[in-house]
Amino acid sequence: MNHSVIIAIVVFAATYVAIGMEKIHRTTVAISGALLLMIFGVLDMKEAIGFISWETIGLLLGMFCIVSALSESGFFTYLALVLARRLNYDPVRILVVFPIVTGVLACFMDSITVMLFFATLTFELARLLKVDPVPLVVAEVCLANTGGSATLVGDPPNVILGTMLGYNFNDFVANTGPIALVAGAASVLYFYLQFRGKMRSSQPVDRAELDRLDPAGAIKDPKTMKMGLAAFGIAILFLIVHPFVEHAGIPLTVPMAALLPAFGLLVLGGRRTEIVLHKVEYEVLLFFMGLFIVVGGLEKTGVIRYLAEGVAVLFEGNHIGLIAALVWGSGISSAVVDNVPFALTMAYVIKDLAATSGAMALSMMVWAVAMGTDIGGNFTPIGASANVVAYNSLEKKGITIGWIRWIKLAVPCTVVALLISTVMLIAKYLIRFY
Amino acid sequence: MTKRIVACFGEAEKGEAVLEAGRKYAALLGAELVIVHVQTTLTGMTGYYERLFHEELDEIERIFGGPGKDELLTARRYFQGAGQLPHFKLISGDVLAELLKELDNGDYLLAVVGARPDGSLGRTAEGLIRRSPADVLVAKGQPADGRTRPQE
Repeated sequence: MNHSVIIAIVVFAATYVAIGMEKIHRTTVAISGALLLMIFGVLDMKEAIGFISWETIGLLLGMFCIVSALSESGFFTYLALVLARRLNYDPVRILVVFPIVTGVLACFMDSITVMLFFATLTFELARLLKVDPVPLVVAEVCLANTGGSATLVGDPPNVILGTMLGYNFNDFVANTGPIALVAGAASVLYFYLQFRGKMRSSQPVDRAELDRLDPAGAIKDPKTMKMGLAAFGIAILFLIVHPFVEHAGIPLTVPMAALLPAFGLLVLGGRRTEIVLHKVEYEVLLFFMGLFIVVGGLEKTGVIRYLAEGVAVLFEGNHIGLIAALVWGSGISSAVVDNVPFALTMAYVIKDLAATSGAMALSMMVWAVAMGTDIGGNFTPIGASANVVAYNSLEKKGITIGWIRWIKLAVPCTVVALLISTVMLIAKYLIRFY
Repeated sequence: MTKRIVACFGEAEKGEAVLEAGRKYAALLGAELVIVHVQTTLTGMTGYYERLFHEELDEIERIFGGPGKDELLTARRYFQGAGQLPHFKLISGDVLAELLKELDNGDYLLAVVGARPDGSLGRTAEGLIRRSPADVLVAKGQPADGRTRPQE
């Protein structure tokens, strides 16, 4: 084993641990890891930049701009208040509908932003309704992560797997979409059956205070909201049609599908453009860039190939076992480590694995890793970024969920969702629909 | 110079014990009582998103009644009918750092802080005991069930 291999492994492991510990900002950790690989000569600058998936960065940048405009306009607050009013502020109905809405939103946009707003809004509504916000918020997080598995843009691991390995929006919708739908429905049913009895307050609710909540008053800027929704709709439309358009010779790539409406929004945004740009999650983009380089170090030094060969030997001729291992291995790993570097590493591993003789189709492995990584994030408060944000947002409000309570709430529905995913993926493999 | 006592009012389970101790010692020492509630600002990834979308999150709190409303309303209700209302202050930031800043600048005789429900000291109480320029009184936590409401 030469010294480059050792350095690449040590830097990768240290980056992984430091991200998990959250003592140093995760972007600083990822960029430091990338710089260390260059300082020690594992990668030169050109190679490092070559490992960054600019398709991923472009897609994320475009979607961040659009979501930034929507949040700036007050869209999330408006949506939650309209829904709560339509549901007549009934906590049991909210327990069912709010998680479904977070799941649907997370299919198409960053689940962190969705949960940042919905955790806060749910807490405030639960306070007025005098019910415990914890089951509501945990159900929303579980559905956001499950919903995120349905599309290319739903969850960062899907963005990475799709853009790096060449699977588009429609591929995800056709393959992971139905599984996410069934797993999501099972999760909603679980939370409904488990907590419907606990969603009735024994204390009187101040109905006048609820009636004072004005959804229209939540819209800060109607023009930005309309433009944001239009850009969002166009981005989704472009993501759906881009394979056909590209086939016709027009270069509407995956990142362009999001960047074009995003920049249209910025050009037409007038004075609001500056605010929208200010709220784009640049730190996340830098974090991704750093990670691409750190994992690139493993790829260049051949560590990923050794890993892939090891997995190939372990599951030689046992494709069903490999599907189960990818779903559950990814799920359990995502419960304890950040799912972004995990998905990035797995993207390289399954790519190399698919190149070995007698290997299973790459697409089948992509769907298995995507489902495991996205849904497995539900297991613990740190399993996915959306969990961390929702957990801390409630903690700030004086509601400490605690790991034990989170696990008690989330593990049953996560296990059921992963079982559903495993069975449906095996069925897909057996009928050769992948 | 006005004699002042600061009561650091936060989580509900220890809040009323703090208010009661603050009220009692302010009366005993003939001092003015200041109720301070520090709204935590988060660090790490959540802190980043909170800073990014702070205007929108503040807007949600405004729609639902204003930042820190819960804590300060509870404190106000507690003192209703108990004679003169104390001063109320709402600060944002790290709880310990902001309380120390308040104590450094506010010329206080005494700081009243709550213990955890099990009677142990939390980070804020420990930090204040070690670093506060004023004396610190730790009020033992009791459930906020309204039974300790002062009767004048």
